[in-house]
Amino acid sequence: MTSEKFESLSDEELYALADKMGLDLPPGLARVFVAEEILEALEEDSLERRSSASAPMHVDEKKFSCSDALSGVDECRASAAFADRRYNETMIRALVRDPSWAFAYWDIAEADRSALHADGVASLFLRVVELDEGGESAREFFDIPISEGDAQWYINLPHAKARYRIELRLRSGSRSRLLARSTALSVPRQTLEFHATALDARSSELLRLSGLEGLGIEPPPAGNPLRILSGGEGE
Amino acid sequence: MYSGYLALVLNAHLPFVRQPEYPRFLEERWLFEALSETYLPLLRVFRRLEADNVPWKLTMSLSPTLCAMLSDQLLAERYRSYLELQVELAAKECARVGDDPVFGPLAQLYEGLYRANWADFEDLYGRDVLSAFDYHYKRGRLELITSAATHAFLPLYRDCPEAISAQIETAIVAHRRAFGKHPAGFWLPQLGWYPGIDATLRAYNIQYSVVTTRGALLGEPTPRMGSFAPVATPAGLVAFIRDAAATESVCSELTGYPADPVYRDFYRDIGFDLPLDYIAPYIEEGGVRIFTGFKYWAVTGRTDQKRPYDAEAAGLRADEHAALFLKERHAAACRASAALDRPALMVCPYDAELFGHWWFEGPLWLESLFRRAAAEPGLKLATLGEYHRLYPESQVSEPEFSSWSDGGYAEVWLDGANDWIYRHVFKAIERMTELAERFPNETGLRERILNQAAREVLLMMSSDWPLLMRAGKSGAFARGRIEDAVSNFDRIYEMLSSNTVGTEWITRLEKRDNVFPDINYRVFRKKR
Repeated sequence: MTSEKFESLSDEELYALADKMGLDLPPGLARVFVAEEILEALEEDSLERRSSASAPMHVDEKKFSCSDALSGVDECRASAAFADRRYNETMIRALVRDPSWAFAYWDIAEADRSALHADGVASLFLRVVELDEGGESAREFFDIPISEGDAQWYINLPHAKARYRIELRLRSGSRSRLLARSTALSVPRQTLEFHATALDARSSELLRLSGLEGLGIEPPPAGNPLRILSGGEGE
Repeated sequence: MYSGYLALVLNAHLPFVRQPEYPRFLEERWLFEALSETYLPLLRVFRRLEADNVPWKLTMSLSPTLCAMLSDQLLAERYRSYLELQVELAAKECARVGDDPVFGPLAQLYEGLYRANWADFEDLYGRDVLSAFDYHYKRGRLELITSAATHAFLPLYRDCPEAISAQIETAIVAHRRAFGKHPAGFWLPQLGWYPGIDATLRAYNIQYSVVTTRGALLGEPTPRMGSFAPVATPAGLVAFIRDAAATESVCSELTGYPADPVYRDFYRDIGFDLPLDYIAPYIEEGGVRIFTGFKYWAVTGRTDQKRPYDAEAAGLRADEHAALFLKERHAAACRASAALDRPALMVCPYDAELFGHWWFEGPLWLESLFRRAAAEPGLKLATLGEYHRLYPESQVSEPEFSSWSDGGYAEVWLDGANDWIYRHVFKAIERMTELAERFPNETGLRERILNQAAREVLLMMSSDWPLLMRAGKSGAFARGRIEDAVSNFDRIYEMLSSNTVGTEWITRLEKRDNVFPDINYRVFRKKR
C-alpha cells in the first residue's frame, strides 16, 4: 500500500478500507487523517507479521496450520547430538543471505587445532576479501577477530553487487596463515543503478505500472551517500 | 484483439510427511486438509467448468513430494480414515446445531463438503487424485509443471551443482512417472532464482519458469516491458515475471480479498471452542486441541467478536472479487498496452493451498474468474506454455538473485533459527557426491543403499524445514526431519565406508522414506 495508492482511492473507499481493517474512525475525518490511521495500522501489522510485502510467505505457512501453537525457540535448536557435531576438517563455507549479509561457518581439524596451540599466542580471524571484477584478485579486505570457540558468523558486507571471499586465518605475532577459504560469493544488487526516469518514456511508464515504486529498488536520491540496508540481523 | 493475457499459476506443494511408524501423525493432516479443502474442491471446479464448456486455462505445479504422497497407498488409506472421522463429526454437528437457523446450514455445508470429498476420492477417482489432474492436463486446459524434488531453496546451493542437478533431474523423472510427459516448465521453490540456474534448467530441456517482479526488474539489463512480458535469459530460458498488483490483491493478509469481513475466518474453529469430551475423538490424542476444519464464523474485522459465517453472502463476495480482479487487470493491461508492441501479459502465481484451505472461498473465486473471463472481452486466459508459443521472442535479460520471501532474498531460509542445519546438509551433499563417484556402477543391494542415501540427502534439503523453524510452527518436527535424514545418511555412509551392510535396517528405511522410487543416486555425480 503506497501513498500513490491512497491518492487513487475515493473518500468512501478509504473509509471502507479503514472499516475492513476494524478501525473505528469518526465520520467526516479529513482524508489525510484517515490515511494516517490506516498507515499506522498497516505498520503495526507489518511489525507483527514482519512485512506485508512478504504475504506469500505467510500464506505459505498457513498450510502447515494444524494447530495454533507456536514452537518454542528451543524446539528448533539442534538437539544435543547435533549441536556440537563437527567433521574434523579445516574448512569454511559462506552463503549469501541478502545484499548486506553473508553467513559463514567453519571448522578446524584436530591436527590444525593442535598447531594453533603449539604456536603459543595465536589468534583466529576472518578476512573478508572483496574481489576484483574478474573475481580472482583481492581489491580490498578487512578482518574480523574470532575466538576459538566460534564456529559461525553473520558478516556485514560493505557493497552490494560485488564479489567476496571469506578466509579463515591464524595470526601469530606479525605473521598470518591461511587455514581455509570459501568459494567466491556473488552479492546481489539491492537497487537499480539509475532512476526509472532515465529510461525512455515507454519503458519508464511500464516499470511504473509494474509496481516499481512499491518494490523499494530505486536508488536513493542523488547526493545521498547512505546505502539502504535491508532488515537482516547479524551477530 | 485482446488488451492482455492473464496467466494464473498455482504451486501445489507439501513436504514429505509420511510417518508409517505411527498409527496417526499430526503433520500428515497437512496433506489431508489440503486434499479436503484445496485439491478436491479445485478438481470439482474444473469438472463444473468443463461441463459448462468454459474455456478455462491454468498452469499448475504439482511438486514431486506432493505427487509422491498423493500416489501413496498408506496415505490414501489414512485419508479415508480421516474422512470417516470428518463425516462422523459433520453428522454430530448437524445433530447438535441442525435446528439453529444460523449454524444448522453451516453444519450441513461441512457435511456436504466431506461427503463430496469421500465420493470423489473413493468412487470417482479410485483414490488416484493425480489421474484427475492428469485428465485435465491431457485435455489441454491445465498445464502441469514440476518443481525441485524436495522444494529446496536452490540459491543457497548454487555452489553445489551436483545438488542442484539432483533436485532438478529427480523432479523431472518423478513428473514423467506421474504424467508420462516431460515438463516444459519448472516452478522455482519460493521463486528462488539466482543467475546461472537458467543454464542448468535449459540443460534439462526446461523452457520456462517464473521469477519475482523485484528479481526481474533488478535484472541485467532492465526489462524494457516491465513485468508485462517475460524475458529470455542468456541461456535461453524464458523467465515469466510475477505481477505485483495481482499478488497484493489476493495474497495480502490485511488488504487482500481473503481478509474481507464476509469471508470465513480461518482461526476460529470448533476444535478450540467446543468442550473437550465432545471434540476429543476429532483432535489429537491427549486432548491437544487442533483445527478440525469446522469453522462457523466470518472474518468480521480486527475483533474477537466474530459474526456468524454466511456462506451465501461469501459466495456473492467471491464473485464480486473475481469481477474486480478482472476489471483491475484489464485496466492495467490497457494502460500497459499503450506502451507495448504486443498485448500485456500478467502472470499471477499463488500457492494452491491458499485456495480453499486458508481462503475458503478461493475455489469459488477462481471458478467465477474463469467464467467471467470467458464471457467478457478484454483479457484472454493462457497457460505459460501457450503464451510462450504465441510470443517466442523476448528481450534478453538475466534476473537478479531473489525470492518471494521476507526481504526478497534468502532471509527466511538462513536465519538464527535454522542456520545450524547447513553445516550438516552441505556435508551430506559432499559425501553423497563422493559416494556416487566412488561407486558409479553398483547394482543390487549396494545400488539400493546408494539410492536410499540420495533420498535422504534430498529430503534434508527441503526448504520447508528451515521455513517452519523460523516461523516457529512444528519446529520440533522440522528439526527432527532434518536430523533423521542426516543421521540416516551418516549411517549409510559409514556402512559403505566400512563395507558392512545392515540389510534389515535399510529395508525398513526404504519402506519408511519411500519417496522417488525411480531415483538414481548417480544424479549426484560430478558434472563433466
